[in-house]
Amino acid sequence: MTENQIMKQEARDHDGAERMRTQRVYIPRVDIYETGDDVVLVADMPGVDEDGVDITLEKNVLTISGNILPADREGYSLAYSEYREGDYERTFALSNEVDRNRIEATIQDGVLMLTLPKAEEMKARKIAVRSAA
Amino acid sequence: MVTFGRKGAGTSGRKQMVTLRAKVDMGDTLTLSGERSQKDGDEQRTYSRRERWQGKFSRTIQLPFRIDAEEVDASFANGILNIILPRAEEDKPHRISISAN
Repeated sequence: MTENQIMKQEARDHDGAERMRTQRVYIPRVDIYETGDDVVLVADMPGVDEDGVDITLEKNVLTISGNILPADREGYSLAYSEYREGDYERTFALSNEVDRNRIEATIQDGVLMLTLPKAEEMKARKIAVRSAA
Repeated sequence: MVTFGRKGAGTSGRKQMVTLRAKVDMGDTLTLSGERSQKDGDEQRTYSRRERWQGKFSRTIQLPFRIDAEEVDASFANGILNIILPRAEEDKPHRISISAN
């Protein structure tokens, strides 16, 4: 694992609009892959549980965001800091391939998994070849 | 020695194998190691984006004082590992009383 792969990337404010929560926002790293039936998006959002995750789809813009509960450090003094706590947010443009009504999301151990089933018409079809009579 | 082994659940059998180990040596160093690997299952995958780290990692941290290995408390929640290492009794600062002559 290289340094680059583990450092979190900080998000820049959208058009100067300020966030209401006073937390840093990070861009979660994602893997996106396709199988025959689905498009799957996996996002690393450590510290986020089910209650903190938010997924919205508006027109064809998919937004995933995760809010964390800041850890309670009462009674301790910071000796070393490398990991920065923060919320997560990232947006994606969804193609028409996706069947919006059947999108599923699960989150475990801070990893969000979004399954976006491909719309029937978009699935690869085997085309039967008949010999021309 | 603390070990966590977790199989991440996904839909339709997409599992991720995760192992995490924490070890205390000589009372004053902490080694964290683990591995995250993909278990493909029967499906064919075509990645269009691959940003998340995969593979093994290992890291040794020198602690600022000796700790009591018996009293270590480690917990793992939402992908964050929290380890509480209490200072060893013999390593705590002791007041030295000075008697006047």
